[in-house]
Amino acid sequence: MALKFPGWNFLRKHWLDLMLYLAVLALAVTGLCLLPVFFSSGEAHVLNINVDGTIVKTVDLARQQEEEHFEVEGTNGPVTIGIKKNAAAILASPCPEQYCVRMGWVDDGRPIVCAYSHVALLFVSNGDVDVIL
Amino acid sequence: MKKSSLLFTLSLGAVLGLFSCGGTADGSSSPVLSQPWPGEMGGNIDPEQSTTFAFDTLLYITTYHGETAVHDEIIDTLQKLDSLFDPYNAPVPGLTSVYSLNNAGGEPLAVDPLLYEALQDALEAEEATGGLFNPLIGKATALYKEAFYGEGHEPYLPDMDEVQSFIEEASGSSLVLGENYTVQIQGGAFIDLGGIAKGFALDKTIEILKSHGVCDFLIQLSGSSIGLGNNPERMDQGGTFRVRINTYVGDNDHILSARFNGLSTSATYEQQVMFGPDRYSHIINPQTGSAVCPNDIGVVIGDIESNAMLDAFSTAVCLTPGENLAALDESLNEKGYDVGLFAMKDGEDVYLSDGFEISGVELP
Repeated sequence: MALKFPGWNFLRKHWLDLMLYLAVLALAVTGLCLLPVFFSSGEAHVLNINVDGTIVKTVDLARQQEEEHFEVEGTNGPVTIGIKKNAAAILASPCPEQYCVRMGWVDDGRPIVCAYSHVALLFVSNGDVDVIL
Repeated sequence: MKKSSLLFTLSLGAVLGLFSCGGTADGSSSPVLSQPWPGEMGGNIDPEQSTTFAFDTLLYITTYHGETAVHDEIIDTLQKLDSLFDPYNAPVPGLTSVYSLNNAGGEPLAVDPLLYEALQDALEAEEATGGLFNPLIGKATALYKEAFYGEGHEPYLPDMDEVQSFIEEASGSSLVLGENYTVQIQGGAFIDLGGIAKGFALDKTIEILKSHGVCDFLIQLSGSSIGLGNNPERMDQGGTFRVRINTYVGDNDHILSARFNGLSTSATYEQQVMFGPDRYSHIINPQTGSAVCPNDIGVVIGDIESNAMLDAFSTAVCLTPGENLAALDESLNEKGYDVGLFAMKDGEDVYLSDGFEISGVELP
């Protein structure tokens, strides 16, 4: 006669249910582990638009699906700002030197500054670094 | 500070990070770290960031324990220095500025003590760099500025004969600093302090922080002059700040970690104007009048309280061909400036001082 451990009859009767419970548990654990991947906005993707020292708009660029253009009123006239997924740009500015416009689309956390108009696009988080030169 | 102590400072974070198991991000069990002046460090963090526009850019002041009054004092000082150093616009009433000196027709003027001190630093920087920084090239700088960035026209190359005449005038002129803050330009040249202005402003900022016993801070005068205090958010990494050097070409991350250091960068990319294959920028060689640099990026790290010098040195690094950078490095350190130098050209690393650690650097 073969040896049977306690609960053998229960297992034999309910093995299918147990397998199902284990599968659901595994799925739940996997899902919890992947939550940060699905919901993280990555690095340097939250953008503060600052005019003369005041934040006038905050955008989560990780959630920006469409390219969007809009104007903010700088201290020397309107400045056109572009945002798209994970990147931002100053597209037009009344400044004579156009340094800000020439930076183009920035996706690496560097600030975009129009000193003439006192407009700054500042990424809130730089990920694992504190300063970007 | 000797070079060995700079290297010690740079590596301190890594060492403490390895051996201080009790250190936590909130500083609740932080390691004992050295600091250059008495003051609060680590502890409860309440970050406060202020920004102000000056020197044609955005300046950031970050402290970590709610020092609002200190921020106000710093911003007032930065705005005053911006007016004092502006060569193109008349100063606010009551100040005698670079603009005033340039338009004094060679007559001596009593200037603000801060400007006097900056001019002393400028002469020291000229001496230390062997003339790669010269405070008297204001006319050549203005000529390039109008040609490259002036309103109502496309960028053009200025008349090089005219540039050359201004360079010769600058080398034949002198800046005389007399008693009672009297300054005189002898020889007709114009002053431009652009090569040390933000570094000097950072030195004054550090003085204010020091006078209030503030040790936890990060000061960014655009990307060109950075003051790294203690970082209470990384006490588990020895209180260092992690700095990424943007290499512009390729995806080539360069990271350095430092604490209680000044950091200065000069780069040709952000204000570049291309004529054929040549990249022109705002950095002008005072010896030749050329606005084309041998290097694209120059980085200098050194003492937290010598940023005006670091600012001038980063310009010198941009202007020095790769094969001569070791000699510049040796010369500066022999003169008592405890600095580390780094240079890049076309996305390639050109030079890194011995013992100065930047991750991701691959020298040829």
